[in-house]
Amino acid sequence: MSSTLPSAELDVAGQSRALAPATVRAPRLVVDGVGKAYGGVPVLKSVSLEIRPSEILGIAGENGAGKSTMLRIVSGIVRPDTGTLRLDGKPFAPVGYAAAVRSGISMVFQEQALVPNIAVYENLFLAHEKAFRTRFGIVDRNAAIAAAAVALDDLGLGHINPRRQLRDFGFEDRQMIEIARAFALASLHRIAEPIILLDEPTAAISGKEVEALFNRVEAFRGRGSFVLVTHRLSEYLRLCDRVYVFKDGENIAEVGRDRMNEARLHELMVGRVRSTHYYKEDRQRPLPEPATPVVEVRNVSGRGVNEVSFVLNRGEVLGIGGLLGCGKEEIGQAIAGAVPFPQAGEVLINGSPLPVKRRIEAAIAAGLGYVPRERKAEGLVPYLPLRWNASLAMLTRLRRLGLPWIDRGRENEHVRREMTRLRIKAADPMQLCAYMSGGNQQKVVLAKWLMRSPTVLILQNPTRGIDVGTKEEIYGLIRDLSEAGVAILLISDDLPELIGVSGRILLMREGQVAHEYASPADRKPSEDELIRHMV
Amino acid sequence: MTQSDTIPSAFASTPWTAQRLAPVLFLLVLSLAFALANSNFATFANLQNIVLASSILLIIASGSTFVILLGCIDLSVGAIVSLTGIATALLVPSLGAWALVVSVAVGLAVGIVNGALHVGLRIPSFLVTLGTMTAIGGVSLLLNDGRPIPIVHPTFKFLVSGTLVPGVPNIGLWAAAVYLVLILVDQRALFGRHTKAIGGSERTAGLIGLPVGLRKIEAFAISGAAAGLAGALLTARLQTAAIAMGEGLNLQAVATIVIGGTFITGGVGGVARTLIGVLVVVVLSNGLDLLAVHPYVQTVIKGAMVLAAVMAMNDRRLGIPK
Amino acid sequence: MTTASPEARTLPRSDLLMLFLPLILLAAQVVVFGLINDRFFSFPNALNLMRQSAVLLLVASGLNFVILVGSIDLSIGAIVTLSAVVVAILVRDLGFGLWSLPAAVLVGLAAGAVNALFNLVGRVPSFLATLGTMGIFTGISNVIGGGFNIHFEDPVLAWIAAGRLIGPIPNVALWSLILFGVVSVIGARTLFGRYLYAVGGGETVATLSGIRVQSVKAGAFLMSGLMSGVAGFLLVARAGTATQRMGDSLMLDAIAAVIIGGTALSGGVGGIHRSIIGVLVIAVMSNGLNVIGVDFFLQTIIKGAIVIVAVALTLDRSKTEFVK
Repeated sequence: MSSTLPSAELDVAGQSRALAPATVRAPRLVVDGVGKAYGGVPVLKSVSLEIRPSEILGIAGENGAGKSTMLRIVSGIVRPDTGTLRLDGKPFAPVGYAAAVRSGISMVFQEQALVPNIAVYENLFLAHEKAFRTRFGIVDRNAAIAAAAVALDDLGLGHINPRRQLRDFGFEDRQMIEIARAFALASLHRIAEPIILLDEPTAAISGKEVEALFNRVEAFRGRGSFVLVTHRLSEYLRLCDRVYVFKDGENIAEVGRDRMNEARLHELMVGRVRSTHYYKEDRQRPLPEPATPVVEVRNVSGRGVNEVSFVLNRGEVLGIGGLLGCGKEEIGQAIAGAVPFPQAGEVLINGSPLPVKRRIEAAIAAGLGYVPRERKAEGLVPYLPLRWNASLAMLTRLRRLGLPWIDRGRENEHVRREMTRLRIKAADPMQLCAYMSGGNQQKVVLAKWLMRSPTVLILQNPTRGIDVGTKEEIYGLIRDLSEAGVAILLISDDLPELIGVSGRILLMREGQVAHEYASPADRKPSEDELIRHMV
Repeated sequence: MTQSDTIPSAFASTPWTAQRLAPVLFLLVLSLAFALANSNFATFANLQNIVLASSILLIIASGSTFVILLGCIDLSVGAIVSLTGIATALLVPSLGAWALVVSVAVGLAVGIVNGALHVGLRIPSFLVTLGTMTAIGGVSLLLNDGRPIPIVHPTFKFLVSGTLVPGVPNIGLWAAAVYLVLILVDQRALFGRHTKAIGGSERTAGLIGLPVGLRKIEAFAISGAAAGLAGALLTARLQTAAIAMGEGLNLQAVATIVIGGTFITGGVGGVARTLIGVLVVVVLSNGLDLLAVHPYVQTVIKGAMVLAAVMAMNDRRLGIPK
Repeated sequence: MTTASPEARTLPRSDLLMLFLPLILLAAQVVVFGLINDRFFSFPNALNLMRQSAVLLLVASGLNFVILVGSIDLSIGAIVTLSAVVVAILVRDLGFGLWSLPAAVLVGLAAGAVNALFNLVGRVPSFLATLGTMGIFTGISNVIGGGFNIHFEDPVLAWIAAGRLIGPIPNVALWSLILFGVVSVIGARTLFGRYLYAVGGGETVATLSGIRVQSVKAGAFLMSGLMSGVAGFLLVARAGTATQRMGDSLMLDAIAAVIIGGTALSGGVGGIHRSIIGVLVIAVMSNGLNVIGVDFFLQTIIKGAIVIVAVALTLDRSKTEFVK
């Protein structure tokens, strides 16, 4: 076992608590020196860890730390570039997820790996139908349906008819079906002690579903092992016997149950105490009185959003937080016009309502900039050069003499200016964005809007998958912009970031604003307080 | 919890809604209209004509349904029909009715090549089959020197035009057999299930461990084999083989599949529904012929029909496709 | 001075190779054909080559717009035929003379508009929409032309096609090059051209950046139709006769030319100006195979294979995850 920290972090007492026998059993899965890189960028750098029998293990870390990649390697979806795995003492190199399942490892996927147009029971056992083969090689559907019903019932999902098509069910039910599948497959292959990987299983569910899941997990204790990856630090505290902390692709710490608390975990994850410096809280200023509203959202309703109203003021950083599916992403999209909507309500920028048709163009013309969640799919065009991506929203202003001819000189000027301001590290402005780091790419997306001197900026998870250094730069940039009077809407999954950067926080739940928190520099709310209103 | 999904809920579960019934209704209306417009429509002889014309198309369309369910397309079926038709004509003198088997084998081989190129080289299916369509066209030209090849072989002719069941030309029996077998494959076999899963969400299917590449090759193989069979039967029926045999079949096959209710984007639909699509297309052709509408005009109408069908049956929520 | 195409910047070596492959291919062909039969290098053959590639250059350039944007236009051959038939009838029966050129342009634009309508409003995937319109346009050609060859005699059109304005260069090649130059500039230096790359490379990104994606795509289809319309005019001016399937072979040739030229099928990569490389490769191949006496049938087979190989080799880096 190679942990990089001194044994003071290990909690022997916590470890033995879960096991009845006095002897310590050999670990189930040993990961040794595993590394993985994508396109030359290392995501995991020589990671070692072990999964012990009958334990609930947590892997904590920021976005981009490598947690999901680790799970994907363990579950056979991805092959490691270096390193080895051993399952129950024997070399383990599964070719694909189905093989891993047969060996006893199954996973609850973060983005539901379900097929909408086939039945629930077919989804549960997709690629594993052979287990239901009768003598003549025909698949016994009734047996499959029965097995599905049992698995669903165990999780309190008796109301789901396994014969119905998956698409008949709502998001929450699908999430539970996704979870049920991991258990169902374990039972199917009669794995004595399955290892079940949970990749952000509660990101989209709440209340009694979360309880049902936790109960199931705890009921399993002693009969298998779990690996939990979640964004909510409190869940690690509640369930896990041990937690590994990943940072920048490395396994930097192992924290036993007794030494676990949110602050400690966060400190390890981020690399520093959540100090005022990281989020530049010392630069946060209260708004001048009276505040000047720039964006007014009035009773907006639509897909995923229900009667949402709020105001965004000049120079303010307003944060919006909530669980996956709470509507925070949708409201950002609604304001920017990124999705066709809303069905009711209106959005005003500087007093003028935005039209329903061609909303994006109107919003942009009114001075809005929208930095979307998925950088590579929505923020920039990967195989276009930096310069072209940066100028994409500005081209109409770069015309020569009003003709649709691009004035390259001016374009270059503008791009270079932003590159300097944002400290974008690129040898040549014609470099393709695909080969740039995540942080640099995000800066290009920001440059695209900053070039237009926006008055409103909507940022969706702006620091996702970015290195710490660049994050700090972006936080500094946010402060610069708000000092200059730009109104910023920060929509983020990252609670500490939300708390640290925002001057005011809205929490959404089930499409509505559930609570509003003031977040002044001297009296920041805690994660716990926020989570209580999110759930 | 809200209704907002991270997976776009692209398909509504609507077993017996307007979308499913529409083609049937359309067929009835069409038939009624033609029957009223022309007294020759509703005769036994014309019905036999319809059966004859439907049979070939049904075989081809049923075979291609799997390809479409996967979200791909096979544009080479028409060329395969021509090729196998000509090959059959050349082989009948020496092999007799066994030329049929060779025909199917050739179609199967072409289908496998299509699938392999698509899967192995990751070339979009429409382009692969466009390429093979052209290449096969060249081969066909080589084989027959551009001249039609007549055949005279009573057994072979019986295969198609004889009547084992009184009143029903044998070719109808062939079509029914292929249709029913493929329905079974579609609904009962794992292959059918997997095809729909892959068409519905290829990313998930691959992730979970479904043999996506293999299924695709199998689907193209079935499509090719069915086209091969159709080519042989068509030659038997026409008693001659020419390059133009397969012309227009591509578009017609796609039209029938889409009209029947299988989404062009894949995942939803099935072989069973293709029958309605075939009947609609054939009745339309037949009726227009009886009304002496010029064949050139018919081409225009048929082209428009495919587009109308796709537009009507498409799933709106998928947004604008490429 | 930076070039218009974005690929030549800080690329891994394998990608650079891909960039120069068509040129290498071209050079290789020229050498091989020349060695087998030195008639290939003769002056009359060079002129032949120019004539043969002129029409393809127009069609391929137009198609490039559509492919760059991420769609496909399979109806280009049918549009060429339709335009040719319309021109022939106008010249023969109504004495239109040079006025048939604007007519051809109109036909092309109308056809492009129909394609855009089905794809953007009707939401039909472009390959299917243009497959359908291919049938429709062919049908319309048949109806208008009655299925017969339409022969005409017009000295102006004859000069346009076969005359020599500048030195020994056949006029048809001249017009083709000029028009090619114009659309290349449009692709490389205008807003529309830049938007093509954005929409093709990342439609969502383009939408979120305020670009009117629908308009850009419609524009692409219109350009494709327009160029095919003009190509039809030149083709029939050169031939003096409109036949029923004149434009058919152009479709596959144009697709191959665009792809070989370096515009990826999934869009967003390449450039209008690159059409000429692809066209030369295809034209040299056809010309060369003819000169060394290869059967027409064999040529078709080779063509089909070439398209597949071309796509496989220029496996675009945009790497659509799931190729359908």
